[in-house]
Amino acid sequence: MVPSSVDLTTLDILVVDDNEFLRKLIGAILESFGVGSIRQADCADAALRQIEQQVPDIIFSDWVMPQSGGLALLRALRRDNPGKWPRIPVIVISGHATEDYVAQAIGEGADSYVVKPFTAKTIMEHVLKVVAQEEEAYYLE
Amino acid sequence: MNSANAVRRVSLAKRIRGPNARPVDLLVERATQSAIAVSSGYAGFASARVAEIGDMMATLTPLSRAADWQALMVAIQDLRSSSITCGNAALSWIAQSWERALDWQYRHESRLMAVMQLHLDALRLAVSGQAQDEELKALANRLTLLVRGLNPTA
Repeated sequence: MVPSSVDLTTLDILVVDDNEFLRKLIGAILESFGVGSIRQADCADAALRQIEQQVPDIIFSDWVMPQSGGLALLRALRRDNPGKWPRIPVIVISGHATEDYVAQAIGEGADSYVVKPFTAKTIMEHVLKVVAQEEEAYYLE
Repeated sequence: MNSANAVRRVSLAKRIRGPNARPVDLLVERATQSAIAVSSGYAGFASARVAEIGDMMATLTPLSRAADWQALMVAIQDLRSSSITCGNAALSWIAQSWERALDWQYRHESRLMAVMQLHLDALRLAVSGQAQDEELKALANRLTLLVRGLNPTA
């Protein structure tokens, strides 16, 4: 069930996007949601360095980035380092809406997929979606 | 279980039911206003991005490395997706047309560089603020027709 009220003040969310402006936009949205900690990285490699420092609760990641993209991040989290970190929900954000891209991202372990353009409402819906998915998995452990 | 897992024993669902809970609708409304405020500064960012694309174009030739073409493609895709997200539809239309022109198999098509230059000029016009959305829409439509001349599947 979707909650009507939420407290996001204890959440730590990592935003990974090479586009500085979109990082700023997503950061402003999350800040308005009251998210307690919002960190940023401009590529998968920088994101992984941040994850080494502290494991975030949720990751928003762009899919196409010039240095290292969403695919590299997902593979590092899901395939190449099993058990190194707890399973972090990853929400992919992409300008590509075709089934190929969505299927690849989900197949590589993304928990949700947001197609640009997005709104604040869309971002909230996807946060609540991965929280609900995590809860289901939590009680199945 | 490793130490990181131990720290995460409280589920996210439980944590978001904390003492500072606020109505979701209120948070979304507040964030929407914040997004509008941030997006109002997009024009400056877009101008800088178009200038970067112009710099890439200045050295690009049909014989340039695949990596250079890929960098241009990523920059144009980025402009398309960020502009539509920030409410600048005109930039998005032009960038989308350019993106379709960049299908790799047409890179040696003799008209491609000229068509790309027209797209760059259109982007510069769009960020200059000298044209109305309707004019830019018409321009984007004409560019799309040109691209279809290069790439019938676009």
